[in-house]
Amino acid sequence: MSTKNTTMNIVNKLFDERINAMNVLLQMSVKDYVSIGNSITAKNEFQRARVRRSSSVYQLLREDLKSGCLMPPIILAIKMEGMQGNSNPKNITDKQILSLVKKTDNLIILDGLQRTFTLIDLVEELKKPGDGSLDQFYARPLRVEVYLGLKKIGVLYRMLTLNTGQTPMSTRHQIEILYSDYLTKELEGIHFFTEANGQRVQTVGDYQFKDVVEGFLSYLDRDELGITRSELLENIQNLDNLSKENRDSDVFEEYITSHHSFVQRIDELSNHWQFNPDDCEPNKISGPFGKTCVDFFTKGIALSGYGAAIGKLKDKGVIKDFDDLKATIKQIRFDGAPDEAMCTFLVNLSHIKDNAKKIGSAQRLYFTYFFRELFNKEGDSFLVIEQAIDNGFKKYQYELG
Amino acid sequence: MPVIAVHGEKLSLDSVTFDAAAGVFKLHSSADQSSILTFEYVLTPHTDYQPKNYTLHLLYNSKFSENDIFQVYERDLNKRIGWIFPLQSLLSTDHDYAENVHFLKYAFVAFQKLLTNVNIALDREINDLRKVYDADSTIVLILSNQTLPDGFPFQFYLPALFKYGYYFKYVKDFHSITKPPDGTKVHLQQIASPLQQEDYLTELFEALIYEQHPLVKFHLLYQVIELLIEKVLRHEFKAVCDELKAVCDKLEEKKIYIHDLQEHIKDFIPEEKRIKKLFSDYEKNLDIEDLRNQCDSLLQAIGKAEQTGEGIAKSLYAVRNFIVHDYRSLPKLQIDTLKDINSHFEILLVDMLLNLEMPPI
Repeated sequence: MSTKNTTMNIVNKLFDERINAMNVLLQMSVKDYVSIGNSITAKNEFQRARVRRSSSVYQLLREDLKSGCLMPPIILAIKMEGMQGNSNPKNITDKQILSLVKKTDNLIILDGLQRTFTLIDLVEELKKPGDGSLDQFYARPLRVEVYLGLKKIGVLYRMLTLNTGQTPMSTRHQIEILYSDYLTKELEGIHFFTEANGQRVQTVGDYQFKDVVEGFLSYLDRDELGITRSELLENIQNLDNLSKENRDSDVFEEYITSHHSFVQRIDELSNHWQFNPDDCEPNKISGPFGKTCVDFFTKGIALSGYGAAIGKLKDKGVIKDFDDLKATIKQIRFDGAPDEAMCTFLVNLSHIKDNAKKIGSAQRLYFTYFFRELFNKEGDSFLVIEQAIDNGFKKYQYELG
Repeated sequence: MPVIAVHGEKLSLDSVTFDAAAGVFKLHSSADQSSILTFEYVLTPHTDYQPKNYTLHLLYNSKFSENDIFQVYERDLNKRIGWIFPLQSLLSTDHDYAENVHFLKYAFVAFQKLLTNVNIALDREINDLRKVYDADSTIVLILSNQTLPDGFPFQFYLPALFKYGYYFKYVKDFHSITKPPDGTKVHLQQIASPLQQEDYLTELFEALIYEQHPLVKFHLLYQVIELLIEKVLRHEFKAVCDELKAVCDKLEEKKIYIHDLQEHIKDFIPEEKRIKKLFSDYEKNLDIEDLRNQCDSLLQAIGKAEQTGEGIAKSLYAVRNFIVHDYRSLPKLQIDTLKDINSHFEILLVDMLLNLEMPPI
């Protein structure tokens, strides 16, 4: 973005002690912001989705904007990776701030995505008449807040507690935006795929990003059912859990690397198990849930069960933290033949599929019980995979009555 | 057609389109372009089929699983005429048919028809089919018009559907011993042709059979026996009339076997005998044991053991007489036995309605 002809000023800086981040209030022209908005939405696939609800509200907003109305501030954040070494946001200078904002690569929109689209659409509309109305609109002032130096979990917490905006974003969407940079960087042997790039999970370390987000949501919510794509999270329990998370660590990273270590461990213990119909009772398995350990345990259903179980065990104090969990994972074992255990797992999941009113919810519940049994130091199945499979299924059936 | 309130006015959402990029159905109003409701479609869309070529029926049962998805075959046409599945199957990709192209084509049409069939006022917050239909109990039956004859008589298939557990209306806590289909197919057949003009049977399977009070239910079910033995009476009478006519035509030549004629008439005039004839001559291969055992159990409990052990006709008729004349004496503990009788009775009746055959005269 050119530094010429910009009218971007810092109006105010305040430090948010709760989330340990600097909040900068900027005033800029619509032209400056539309340029930023175009850049953000072009680069980040998760910031391209337009609202699916009725557009009449935004049509009204377009008309109001033409008449000179003032919108509430749009809220942006600069990801930690984009701070260019400025680790202490309290010491950052105004010049550095403006430089960071103008370099749009690391900007994300926390609140105001649909308003951004409205502004972009209005600019396109005003380009057509060529009567000077575009220049007039471009010159109008706009207020933008930017959070600097914020760890992702702090951003999520702030987004949920603020809950501002005419079109609230779902928690799932917020998480997708926040962690989208993992799509391009490797994390300890983990690779994320999206539906857009069409790759399939094949080897240990491969994950579908949306499934990981789903599992992470279940961890935050301590509930395997998580939140659907279109629902806004208003769960006070979730906020309470979030507030307790260590804001100095990246919880998302810890969540997924611990799961990855679990998949590595079970794949290794089972000697890279693959489904063989001859080994299992075929008439009891209608479409195997997964054909390899990777396929099995990286599905959204399994990730949700894992997330919910770990969250609950953490709340009960059974798991201290993710480091404690990773140490526990190293000790899990099969007492008997891994093939038999995995067949039993498949049979149980198939039984659920044939009998559940909602297959996804029911299988998520079973996985939650499986992981709780496996990692609960106070339980009978602690560390023993076969017992966790069996006892988890018994608990699932008992829950159903 | 669904309607939506906008600024106090009601607008019909008379247009449905599918946005493939977003994976959503959109309900529009042609009068107000901004009035849109969107519904996410999670299955892979297959848009080959046109909704106007399909007919949707809604049935109910909360005991079906998401994976209870079946192809529907018509026995006499000997071909597939559609699919039947829980509404939940349209809202999930976890079941076995999520990648079955044949199912997916019907599913896409069914979803669209579910949206256009809504006859209530919606509001802008509704974007989920679960908020319009009860996904726990609603079953979707989607039939191809091209495979069906003109004027397809859906009401004639209600008994067959009932036997599988597909009910015409939703009644909370409705108890029945119906069984879901085995395998991958549901085979439907019409009620027997001599019964197709009987409006009572349609009324029974559309509403009356869901009656919960055991006494009332028994009476309603027994009306079917009354209806059937009326058919027996007419059929047997016709045989007698034909016989008499043959004699009258050649009165001087033919010997009149008075005794045989009397015996024949005595054989079908009394109600109990007609019931016996119904089970022996007009219905074949019925599974009557469970009902008979339940009837005998009740008869023994009320001190009428002498009327047991002589076949379904006697046992059922004896129970009927007790209910009609002496219900007030039924011990409270036997109410459950009466409920069990009704459960087995309704299943047996379905078989009787489907299998009735008039014997040659």
